[in-house]
Amino acid sequence: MSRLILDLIVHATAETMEMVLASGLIAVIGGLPLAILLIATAPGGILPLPAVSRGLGLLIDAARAVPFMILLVLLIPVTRLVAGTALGTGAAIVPLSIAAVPYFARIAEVSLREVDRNLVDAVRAMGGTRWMVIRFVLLPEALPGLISGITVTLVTLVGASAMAGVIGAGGLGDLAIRYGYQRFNTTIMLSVVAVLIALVTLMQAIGNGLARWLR
Amino acid sequence: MVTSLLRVDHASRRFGGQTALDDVSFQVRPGEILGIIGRSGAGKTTLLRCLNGLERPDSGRILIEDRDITTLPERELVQVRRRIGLVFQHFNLLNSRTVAGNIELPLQIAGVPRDRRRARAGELLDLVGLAGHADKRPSQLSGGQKQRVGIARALAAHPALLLCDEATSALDPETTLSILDLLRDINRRLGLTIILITHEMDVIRRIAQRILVMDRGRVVEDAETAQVLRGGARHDVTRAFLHGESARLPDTIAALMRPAPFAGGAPLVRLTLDAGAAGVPVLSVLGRQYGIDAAIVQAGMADGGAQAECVVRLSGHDDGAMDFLRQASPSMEVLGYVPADS
Repeated sequence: MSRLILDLIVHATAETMEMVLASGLIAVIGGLPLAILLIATAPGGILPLPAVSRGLGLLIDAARAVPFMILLVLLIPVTRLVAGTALGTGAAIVPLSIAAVPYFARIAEVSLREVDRNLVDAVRAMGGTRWMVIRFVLLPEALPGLISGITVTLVTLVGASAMAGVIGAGGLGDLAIRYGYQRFNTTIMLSVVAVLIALVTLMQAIGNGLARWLR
Repeated sequence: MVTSLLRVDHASRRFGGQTALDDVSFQVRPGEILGIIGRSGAGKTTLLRCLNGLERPDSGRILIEDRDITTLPERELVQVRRRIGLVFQHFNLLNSRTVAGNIELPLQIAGVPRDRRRARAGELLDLVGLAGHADKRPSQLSGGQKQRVGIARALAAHPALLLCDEATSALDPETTLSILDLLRDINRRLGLTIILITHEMDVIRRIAQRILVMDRGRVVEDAETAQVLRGGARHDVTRAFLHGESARLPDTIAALMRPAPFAGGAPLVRLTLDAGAAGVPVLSVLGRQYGIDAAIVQAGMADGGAQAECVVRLSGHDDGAMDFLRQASPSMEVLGYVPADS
């Protein structure tokens, strides 16, 4: 493998990591509060507002219904507004984040819903406020599940970031398409696939380890 | 001066067409242990949720330390809840925290600084006999130990009232006894008022000074436990709890038993005798003075050993003998009649 190809792969891997980690971070920052809001406002929650819960659920599902390829194109004006350009790695973070926020919100919702209701009632009965229920019960008790959810989200983002190559995002997917597919460079194609497998396996292993340690 | 720590005045609560609480009234005096017993669906859980303000009665008042919690806004209700320690059937401990962290939770909720929380958790671990377990996770403890942590947590914020919701129902008989002993010990040492909600008569028998029996949302009995155990129960449900608890008759004898006397039939009698007042040899007197032999069918202890309970088959019927037995055991009961040679 030539020095040039190696450089290309290292560079592309860094770009992929940048996209995945940045949008993953935004997914957690945006998705977790949404998930808490969904759980809290659901019937029987700590702040039951069924209309809010249903409306929010609908919005999240609508965003998740749009295939990422289409979302990518659909969001170009928004991307331009936020990032100043619709091209490149930085710009790709915008549609990736917008897709990942509702995705993670639903996954986090499941983990939060699994927290024993009696624990919530117990803290309420001890005189705990709603905020204390979230801070002392919901988040810490759901943490192992949330970590697993973050892992799943990051892995999904690796795949999605490859598609972002369409808008010139760079990264491993872009490299595989342009060099591996369009230029028939099998070495690059296989190398990229190998790096992707290694990346996903590593993420999953770290996620599993962390979740197990917390349980 | 607060004479009643908790006072429930004509509280009622309906869910749809179902009446969960029907005109419930009672008082709890400071320092007493009150047992509330009822079958499932009798309204115990609804009463409990009303007592800590998780539920509001449709009508009536609930006064805790002279404050009516049914009209308090949520913000002030939170303050009242912190005066009540809760012990749960399934412990409800947070697995994301250590044992000490769980005990500190009510203090953290009350805004007590960290070092004082730590110190208090240590004190309480000593009190419940779990010193040295501070840094374990609840999942590493046995059921009895978990409940000790639950009790320590309930005591952490110096509550005025300890509310135990089926606190021993998930434990084996031996652990149940040790937890009940702990609760009685806490009641004596700290003078803490305790309300026990349960469906087990044994729990009440062992530590409750007063018993409240609930049936279909109503309080059907409110009496001193000792009085009820001596046969002073006014309501059928109370008697059902008392008897449901005594060992069942052997099937062979139960099959032969008939409710009314018949030729060649002998009465089967249940006696409850004070073990402390063993001065009268009841069965010997029965034989010598009335010429009636008594065969023991079943015998055991009741009231934690304070009373002896036995079922005997008498060789015949005699009014004088019956009066004598009734005097020795006020709760004496003729269960039925069996063939004399059975």
